[in-house]
Amino acid sequence: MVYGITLAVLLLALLQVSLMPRLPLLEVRPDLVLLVALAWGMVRGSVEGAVVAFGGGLALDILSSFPLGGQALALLLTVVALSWLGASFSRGNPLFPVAGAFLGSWVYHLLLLLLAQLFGQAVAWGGTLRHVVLPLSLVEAALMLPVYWLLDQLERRTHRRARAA
Amino acid sequence: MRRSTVLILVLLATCLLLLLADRVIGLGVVKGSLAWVLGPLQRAFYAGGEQAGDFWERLQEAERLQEENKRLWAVVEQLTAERLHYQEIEHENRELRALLGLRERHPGLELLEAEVIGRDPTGWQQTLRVGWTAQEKAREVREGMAVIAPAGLVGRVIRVYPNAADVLLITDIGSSVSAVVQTEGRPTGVVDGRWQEGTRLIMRYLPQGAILHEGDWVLTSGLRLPPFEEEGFPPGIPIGRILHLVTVADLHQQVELVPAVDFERLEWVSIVLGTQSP
Repeated sequence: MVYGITLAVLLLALLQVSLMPRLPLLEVRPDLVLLVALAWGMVRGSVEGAVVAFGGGLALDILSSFPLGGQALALLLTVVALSWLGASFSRGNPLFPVAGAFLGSWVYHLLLLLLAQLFGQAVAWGGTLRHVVLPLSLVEAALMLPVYWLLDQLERRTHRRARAA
Repeated sequence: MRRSTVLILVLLATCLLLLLADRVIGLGVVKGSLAWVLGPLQRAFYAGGEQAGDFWERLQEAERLQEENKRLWAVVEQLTAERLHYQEIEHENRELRALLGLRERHPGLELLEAEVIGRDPTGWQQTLRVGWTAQEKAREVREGMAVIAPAGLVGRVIRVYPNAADVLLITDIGSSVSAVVQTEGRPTGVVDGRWQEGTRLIMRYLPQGAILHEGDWVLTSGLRLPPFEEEGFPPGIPIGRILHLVTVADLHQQVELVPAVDFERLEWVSIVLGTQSP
């Protein structure tokens, strides 16, 4: 199952770099890979989330100008941290994925900005956080509910089928 | 150490190694090769993305056009309302000019302009309610006063309120007006309302020998009839035209009249408060 999700995340990475720039939602481009990796980590735990985050991050690295491994590292750290943090929450609580996405969005983008600066890229911290990360985190928090619900349903269905088999 | 932790650590280490390698030796070739492999897929997605983007733009444009359309419709409605308002003002202006003309035609009459504000709701009486705003003259309005319009005689005041009055139209069966036919010999008679009986106006008591023609004008004679001896109709106001001869009795003739005034379209009238001394 985790490989299926990883493959889906690779396709999402392609969508992320080809389709999303043409479909800005409220002037921002939601990070589909981050949302799915975070949601899968919340649904299935940190290990499966880490695999999805690694695959998706690498795909984004290949498809973007970011240093290879950079987005994978930021995504991996974010998903693992949020999965650990979220382990104590109930899966039925709708606040859990929304708050997770909001927090995850901030952690992920802060890590990316930090890495970009480490690799010598110019980073306008104040403007980027205020005008990009803040609205993006709000949109991603809102989008997380349907994404989480979808993956949760998928997980429950496949889990039930696996148990029946 | 747990297996899951090891896996995560391995993945983290891979990321760090990749980053380090990219930093130190540069992994452009590796990245380029992988990008080349993914190239066709990326191109296909990008083409799809362009189409989706175009569709999205068209969708947004459609939304914008819809909004624009709504806004323009609101403007159209506003302008239509304004146009109707101006048409009303123009119409009112015409009516008031006609009333002014009436004043000029009858300089001896003291008039109070009033607007038609209602019609008889019962359907069995021919009355109008007229209202005015000129407070000073309003005190002078009394029952029995004549009501005229630029086209001719309208009726008589039958009830007075603080800012309005009910007017009995000359076509009502309860109305009688002393009249004269504008023809040779100027025969006189009485014009009675006959609306409730299916016709509008009948002129009775015309002398047998009077020579009458269809289309002859009938005017108020100025004679006062009971019960309004004090408030008579001023002379020379058109009542109507002879439509046809109804009966020729031994002593009198009787003709049907077409009223000079179109009561259905009446909007402004003048109440004759009195006659000014020359």
